[in-house]
Amino acid sequence: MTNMIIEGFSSILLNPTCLMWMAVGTVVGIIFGSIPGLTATMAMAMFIPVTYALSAEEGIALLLALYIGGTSGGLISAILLNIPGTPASIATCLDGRPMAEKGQAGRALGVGIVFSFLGTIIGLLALMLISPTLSSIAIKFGPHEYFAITIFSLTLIITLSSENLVKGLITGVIGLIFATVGLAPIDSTARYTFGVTSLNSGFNVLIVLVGVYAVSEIIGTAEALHSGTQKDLSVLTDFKVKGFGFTMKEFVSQIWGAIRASAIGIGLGILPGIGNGTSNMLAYTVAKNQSKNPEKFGKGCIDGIVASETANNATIPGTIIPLLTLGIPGDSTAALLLGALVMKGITPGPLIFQQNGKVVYAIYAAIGVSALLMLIIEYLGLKWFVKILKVPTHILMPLVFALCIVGAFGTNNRVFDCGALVFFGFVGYLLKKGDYPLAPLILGFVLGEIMELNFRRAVSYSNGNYLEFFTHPISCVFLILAVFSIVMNLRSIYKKKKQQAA
Amino acid sequence: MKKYKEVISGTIIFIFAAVYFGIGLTIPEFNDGFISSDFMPKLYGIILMALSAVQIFMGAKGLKNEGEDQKEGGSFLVPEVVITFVFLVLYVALLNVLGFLFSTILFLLGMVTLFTPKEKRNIIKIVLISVVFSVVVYLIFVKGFGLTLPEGFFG
Repeated sequence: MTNMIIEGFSSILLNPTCLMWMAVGTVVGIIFGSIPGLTATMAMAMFIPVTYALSAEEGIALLLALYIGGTSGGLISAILLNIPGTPASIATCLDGRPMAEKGQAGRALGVGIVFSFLGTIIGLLALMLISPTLSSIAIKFGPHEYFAITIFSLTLIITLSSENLVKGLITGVIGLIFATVGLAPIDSTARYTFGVTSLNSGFNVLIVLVGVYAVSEIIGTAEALHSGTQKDLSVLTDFKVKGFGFTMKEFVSQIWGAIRASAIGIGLGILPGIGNGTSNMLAYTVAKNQSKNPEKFGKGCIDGIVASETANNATIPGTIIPLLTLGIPGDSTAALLLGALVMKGITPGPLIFQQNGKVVYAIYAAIGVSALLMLIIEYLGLKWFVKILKVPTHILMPLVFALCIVGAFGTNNRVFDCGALVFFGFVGYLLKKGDYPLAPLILGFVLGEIMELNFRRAVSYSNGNYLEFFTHPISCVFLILAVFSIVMNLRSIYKKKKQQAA
Repeated sequence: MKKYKEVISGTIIFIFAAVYFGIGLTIPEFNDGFISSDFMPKLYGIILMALSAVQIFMGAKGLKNEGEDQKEGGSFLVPEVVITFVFLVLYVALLNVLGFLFSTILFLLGMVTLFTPKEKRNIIKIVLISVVFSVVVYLIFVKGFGLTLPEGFFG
């Protein structure tokens, strides 16, 4: 046992080749994460051939570095451009952008970077200490439980749209509607494809995300140009960032929030199919709901960035828990890791600790080292990232769109997706013009298919008996939580209205 | 136009929901006693119609209490926005013909020129930015990372 631990850790820490590959992986991951449309998954898929030439430990370490760097990298474009680099950073925009507009871009980035690191480390601790227990709970999740948890997650739309409830619900349902395009789950009936084969697989979440956020941002630039209201952030921004831009006292005040966000991130990471695209928004809304001054959120407070960035990185070790202990990959990224492991003759599952203990400890070490590398590299890059704001918007935005095209094409190697990108850009622009919030649309889109699939599965499992949603204890708890979340939110909205009226 | 924004946006969404629901009626239904593939679309359609009706109603109510709370809606589909959309569509359409490199250069030339305020326009600088950026992106992603990008007829 002790031998395995020492061997596993030393295969990463005392191996210069491995550390070098991990540094490369972290840098590439950050680049891919920060470019809208390119993701950690894509970077990992690209580097799979490289892992053939490496040892099992080195290969996995490289992929983990890409994963962690890529998840954190999304915060850079979220804060500086108001375009989430990946679905994992959607909630980072909500407070990151207002901070950048106040000239605090460096501070926002610093907070995001440090708490990305912290989230990864807390997740790692959970992975090391309690993964067998957590996995045994997760394995009890059937379709009823999944349906209940997606319903609960959907009630978040209410919190995400506190300014105007009806509009938030409308965009949420529009998100659900876009998710129905393509072949239906279970029976593969073609829906809303209008005979177009390219539509059979539905829309990719990245295309929807980048279209709705990035393209509408670009069009916003065109409009600002027309009215002459272009904001010049380079005048406001404090380019001399000291350290990470926040004080020790602020850090201490965020620790509880970070632990809560990590717990949410780890929990959603363990459940297959629900990843960091959801965990960042869930953590954000929980932070907002539990805060003593929820009105600060969305106006540029660090609490929001802490919640979003801690949660999305804590999700990474979370997805690795069922992967290692049960051999279940929760999402495409975890599936890539599984593939890489299997290729090296390692079978994840309950026996992995006995058979390949060395690899398990190497994975622990690799996650820790990747987190540290990410912290160092992003810290060194901080000053340079902020300089992006010095590029005038009228040059920056067209360049960003060209990069979005690279990302859109990269998802499936089809120009069709680039066209869909422009379409969603138009949709996003129209919604933005009507003051409709965009985050609920993404949430609805991400959860739509999981919800329908599990709802239909659950109903046929229980032979059409809808009561079973309440007789399964975990499912029942989440449905009650969903009702509770709706009631609490409506109550706070009502109170606010009353206050405003008075 | 500005003050009718709430009603108009609600109406557009209502029409969208109605069309969506209508198409949903044509989805084949299987009589196995369980939920079929047409159920969710129909449900979403009904919910969205209801929500947009509420939106229209609230918008109309807001019209009566005029003067209060009318946010600055700004301009809608101004010439710059329309041209931007045309550029985006043309760019995507050209990808298959000219390939990524040349379409991107053309797109950036057009877009940056359009976006740059007239007094700051410097053609040499714009050409330089467009060409250098496109070539660097192409080299990094295609040659460096081995990603595929549209090649067009020149590929």
